[in-house]
Amino acid sequence: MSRLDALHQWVPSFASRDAIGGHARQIQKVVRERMGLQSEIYVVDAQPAVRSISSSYKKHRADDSGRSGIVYHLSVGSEMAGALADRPEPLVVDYHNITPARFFDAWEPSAAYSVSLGRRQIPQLARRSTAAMADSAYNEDELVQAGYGSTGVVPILLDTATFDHEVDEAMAERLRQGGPLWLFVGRVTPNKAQHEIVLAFAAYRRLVDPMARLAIVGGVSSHAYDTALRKLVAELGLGDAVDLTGSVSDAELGAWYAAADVLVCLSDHEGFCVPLLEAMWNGVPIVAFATTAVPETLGDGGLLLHDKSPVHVAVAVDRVLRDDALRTAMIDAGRARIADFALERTTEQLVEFLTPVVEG
Amino acid sequence: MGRRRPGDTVSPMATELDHDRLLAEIDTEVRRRRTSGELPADFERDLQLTFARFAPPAAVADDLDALIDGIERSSFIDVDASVESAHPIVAKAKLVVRKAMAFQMRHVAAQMGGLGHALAMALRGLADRIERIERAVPGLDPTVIELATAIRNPVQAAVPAEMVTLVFDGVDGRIAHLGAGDGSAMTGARAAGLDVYGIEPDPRLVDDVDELRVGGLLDHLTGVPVDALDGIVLSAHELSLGDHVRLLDDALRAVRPGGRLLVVTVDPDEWRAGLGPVDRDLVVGAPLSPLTWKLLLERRGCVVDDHQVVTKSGEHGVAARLPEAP
Repeated sequence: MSRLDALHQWVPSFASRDAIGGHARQIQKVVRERMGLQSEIYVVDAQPAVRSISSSYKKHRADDSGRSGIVYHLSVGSEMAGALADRPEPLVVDYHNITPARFFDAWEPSAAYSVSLGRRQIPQLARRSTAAMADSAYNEDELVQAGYGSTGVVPILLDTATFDHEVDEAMAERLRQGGPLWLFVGRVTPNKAQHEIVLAFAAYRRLVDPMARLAIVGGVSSHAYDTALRKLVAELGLGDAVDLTGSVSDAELGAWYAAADVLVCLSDHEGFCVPLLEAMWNGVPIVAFATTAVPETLGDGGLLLHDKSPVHVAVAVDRVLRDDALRTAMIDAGRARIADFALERTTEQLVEFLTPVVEG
Repeated sequence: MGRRRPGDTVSPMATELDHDRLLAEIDTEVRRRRTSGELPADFERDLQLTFARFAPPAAVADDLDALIDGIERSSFIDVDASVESAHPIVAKAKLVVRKAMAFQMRHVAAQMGGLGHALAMALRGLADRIERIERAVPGLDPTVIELATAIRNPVQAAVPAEMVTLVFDGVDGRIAHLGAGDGSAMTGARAAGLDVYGIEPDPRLVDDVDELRVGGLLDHLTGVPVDALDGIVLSAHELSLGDHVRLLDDALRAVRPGGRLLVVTVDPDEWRAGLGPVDRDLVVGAPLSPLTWKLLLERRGCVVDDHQVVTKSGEHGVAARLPEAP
């Protein structure tokens, strides 16, 4: 393979505000400006805000000159995987993890089918790929198990400046009034186990502070799970204390972070977990369940629990909220940890990974 | 509770976090809280059950009784849809539609409810039979498994790294060691240049060793693509006959045609005699004799090496080559 002139990206679902969308745009910037190659983004679907900077993958003409490569963002089951099988270009898979179907079987059978399809495509693409990168060592491990040969870890490329949301100060001020505020940020979906946060929060209100509040911030990916979550909140008599916000604007998200006293994450499955980094950036201490890629992303930047039973989590959060020295240490540890994901550093990792692919 | 501004730099005076100590203190406090009487006896279980009431039956499938209860609850179909609306006229219209369709909806609901009830009854019958089978077969009885796990010491097969390096000499591709114990054979083979990773089902044996993970052996092979490996070492002794055979078949599927397989086993009688009295009573499963492995491998078209490696401590290495692709 000769040196590449172009390295394009295929993104099944290109969004303006999600982590993969931002990552793809950063990669494009690095490939163009740092590596001097052409780079376009091809998609199946794109949100209106990013349609002007992407094209349908069906318009991407096959190039068998050996001078053009493709980076495929593997995060869902997609028709793109089948199309890639017949393409001549060298392929780099960028694996962002696909949540196993077992988390959706009971709640969203159609989503379970979609992720099953995606997971079947992981080994199928192994034979076709020149190299594969993953957001985390946890994800890389899955690639190795699926038969990928040349693998490496390149964390999501995040410009932490984008965490500097314009804060809705009036809202933040309003949110600061009241008892301690627990925060979770992420889509409402079974693998993120928001119901366990509600149960732990109920235990905390009972054991520690009946004035405590909980905000579960994020759009809904599973309506069945969201319905059950709302019924649970009502049944436990927490309707006035728990806010299931749905999707929020950047300014509102900034307000939630500005007002939060602790971020609690009890997910059962995370391939990376960007909200952990957002919380670190915003100086919010983190209490998280140690599973999948969470320990790797969190590092020493928060408190990792190996038991997420309600009383255990409640006691851990109480400890973090009551102990000022501990809180300060956790916030500082979070700040130190996020430096590991600084854009300059992750960009170097990306360039280092892609250079052998580009140079052949 | 002091807050920081986004992007603040790290204080050089920051208190060092001692996670282990902190977690130990939290554990102590959790125990104190749970035994202090300030919470009702079944507080946490009741919380979980509250959520289970709103979850689909299959979401609580690890508890078969709860699953069947959920199916029975789901069998009741409420045909009276809500008629609430901000507009009184819309609410009235909804009420009219509901009344007009009531007899039809009840007819359908009665049949669906009957189906759900019949399913729940059938599942209860199956659950009873499964429980009887579990009690009759020690290896399936959850009580025995729990007891054995709690009391027995972990036992690992003694696999010499030299045996692995000898059998896989010249193999460049990935090799899995299933039943890798503490990973010593794997580590030795890696030092000799082989690309070996290990899977061990007993977490008590696994420390922080590169390329060694805790996991179910059959579960692991289920996730390995066909022909993805160049070789496999099987050294799990404590399996039922059925699981030994299933593991072998899954291993043959995961190894490429012409790849290598090494089964490390011991004489079952000698192995059992070597166990202590408690372990002997509680052990579930046993190794298969080298002759049985040879027979199983040959019946699957593998070419078994004439020379078997036998260690001083009695481990037999039965090595074989998979048939080449047709």
